Amino acid sequence: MRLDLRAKPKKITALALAWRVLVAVFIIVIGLNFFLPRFLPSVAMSVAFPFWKMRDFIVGIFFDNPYFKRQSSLVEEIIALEEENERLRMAQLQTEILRADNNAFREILGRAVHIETTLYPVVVRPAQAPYDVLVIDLENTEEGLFAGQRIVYGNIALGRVAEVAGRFAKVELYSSSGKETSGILLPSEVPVTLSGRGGGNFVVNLPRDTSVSVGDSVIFSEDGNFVLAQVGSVDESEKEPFKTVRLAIPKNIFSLRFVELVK
Amino acid sequence: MKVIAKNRLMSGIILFLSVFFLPWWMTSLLALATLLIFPSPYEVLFIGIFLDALYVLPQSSLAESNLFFIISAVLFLLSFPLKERITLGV
Repeated sequence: MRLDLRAKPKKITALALAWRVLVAVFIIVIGLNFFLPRFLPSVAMSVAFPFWKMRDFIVGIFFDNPYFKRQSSLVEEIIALEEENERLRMAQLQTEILRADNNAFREILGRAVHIETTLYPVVVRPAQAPYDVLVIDLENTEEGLFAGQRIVYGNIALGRVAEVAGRFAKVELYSSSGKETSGILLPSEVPVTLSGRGGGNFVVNLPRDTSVSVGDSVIFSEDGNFVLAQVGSVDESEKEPFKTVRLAIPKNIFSLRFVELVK
Repeated sequence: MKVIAKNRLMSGIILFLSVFFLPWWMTSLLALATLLIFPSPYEVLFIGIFLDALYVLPQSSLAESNLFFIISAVLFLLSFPLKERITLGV
């Protein structure tokens, strides 16, 4: 056999090289996810931390700074806030009365409730994250967080801690696509299983004769002190035995700045 | 540095920063543009892996936890024959 030393080495095409690189990367990524499942998320979180801080700093300078707002828009904003403040004051009075009644009933039934929460800033919201996930900053916290702890906003149940990675924690919202959560529809008190649809939305199919209307609330079945969602629309047809109820978290999750962790 | 390399570096930096500054779907659009404009756009694979690592939940299945990587890998491979047929980039 003669070796032709003048023959040029076989040139690898860009596509062939891409295939080889892709197979190598695929093996490394799948291997890491299988054997060290927390390695890549921890590295990603560490890399993301300075960029998220920088983003918040820039947003703080340009968007949260009243210096950059026009006087007329500030006046309009003040008027709107004063009106909202008045409405909220009225609503709070009503809530206080109801809360007092509720506590009295609970004490009579021997189920007094005292819920302790801790406030955490939200770093990433669903608009930025591809899944219905919140990332919260655990800076300055001395308490140990663990997966499964409940996250709320006021009296709205939002989700649970899914993972703690370094100084951040990922929160899976109850409205995550495909996630099912049990609740009780009020005022009819029908037990329902809400199916998450992403973006703070839920859907549930109910028998046609179930009494439900827009604005009705679904409370969390594990803890009736928290609301899961409010009915946004009801689709029913005379031909169908079920009606489709669409619900949403009664808080805009795309603008959440703080959430509370139930201890 | 050649203009093409400079453009590529700049687009890579913008794509990477978009992960932290822009909604995920805008990052996806930028990645798609990178796929169509530049030859052998390996940075898109990196962005796919990074997005998965950053936002995936621990209880997700293997396919779910590598969703962006899988999509970016498929589009990455498809971009080669596609670019032979269209003249868009540099």
